[in-house]
Amino acid sequence: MTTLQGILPGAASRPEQETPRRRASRALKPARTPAGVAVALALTAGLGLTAVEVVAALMGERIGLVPVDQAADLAAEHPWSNPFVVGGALVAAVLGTILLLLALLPGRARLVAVETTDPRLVIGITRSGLRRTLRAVAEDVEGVIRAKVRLRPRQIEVVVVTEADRTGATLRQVGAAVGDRLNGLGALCASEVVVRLRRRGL
Amino acid sequence: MRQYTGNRVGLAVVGAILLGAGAYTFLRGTGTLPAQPKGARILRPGLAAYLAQHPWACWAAALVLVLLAMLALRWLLMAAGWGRIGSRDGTGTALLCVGLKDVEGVGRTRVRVVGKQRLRLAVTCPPAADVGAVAGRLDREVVGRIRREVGDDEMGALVRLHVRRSGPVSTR
Repeated sequence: MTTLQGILPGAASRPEQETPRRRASRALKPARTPAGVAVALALTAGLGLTAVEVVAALMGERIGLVPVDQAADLAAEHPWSNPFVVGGALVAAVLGTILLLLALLPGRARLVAVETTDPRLVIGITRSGLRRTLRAVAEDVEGVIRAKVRLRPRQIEVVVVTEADRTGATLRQVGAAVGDRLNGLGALCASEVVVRLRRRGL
Repeated sequence: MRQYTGNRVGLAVVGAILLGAGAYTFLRGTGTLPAQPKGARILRPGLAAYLAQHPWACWAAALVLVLLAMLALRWLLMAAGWGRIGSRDGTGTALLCVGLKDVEGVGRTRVRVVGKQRLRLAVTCPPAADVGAVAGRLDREVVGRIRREVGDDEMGALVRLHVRRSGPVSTR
């Protein structure tokens, strides 16, 4: 399938010029599928039924799927200052603003990008998958009973529950294990890892 | 390689039209627009007579409606994944499994070819697996090998890595 970005001048040389983070963010940006499907479905149904109704009316038939005549009568009877018209206009403006924001804001990707050497390859790991693999390495550290991982925009928070008395050593070991896993994976996400320790029963 | 942008374009166009129409109607209704009386009827009284004298205008409006409905239907099909999901490729899936055979517990693997231009791969690993090693192997050798077998070296590829919960292995 030919896309606009594929036939634009310079498109062939672009992948080599992009950084891995930029390349991954372009490929993994949310496609806004639920909103797109909902709006497209509403438009298709509304426009299609209205077109059928108008064509039928022009040919002297009445189908009654869409009340075009009643809408035209209401518009001919009521002024612009009608409270329902003004209220409807406000609702339309708010809805339009929401759709514009959905279109323009980049949004949070469902996959966390992983660094690659191949400019034509993008690897992403699911956020839940990244949490599970980090939790697994944290729970492998001696003395850790269980761990919980949160992915925040600027840091990765690891909360471990432990019975160990020497909490400083456990903290360093968990931080090193999680950092090693992140470095090995090459995840292009928050690089700061915060480890919090909790004693069992607290 | 970039994500499908059709939804964003469609949402921006519809949003701009709704915002513009809503703002105009609100300003007109509150009497803010100069030389536009807010007490005027929404449809002008002479419009029905004009349309009766010029029936081609109704046919033109119907044609525009039909074209817009077809455009919206195309958007709906594209948004639902038509032409973007691709088809499963058995050879590619087999090569992916062979490339990751050393990784214990790899469950679900899938390779799809989208329009002979792009590969979509999905790999599910157990929590204990070294996902860094999996990603490195995919980057260095596996994806390149699949590209050569399925299409050509210029194909873009998107890999979705997932780590499942601990438990029995599913090999769907």
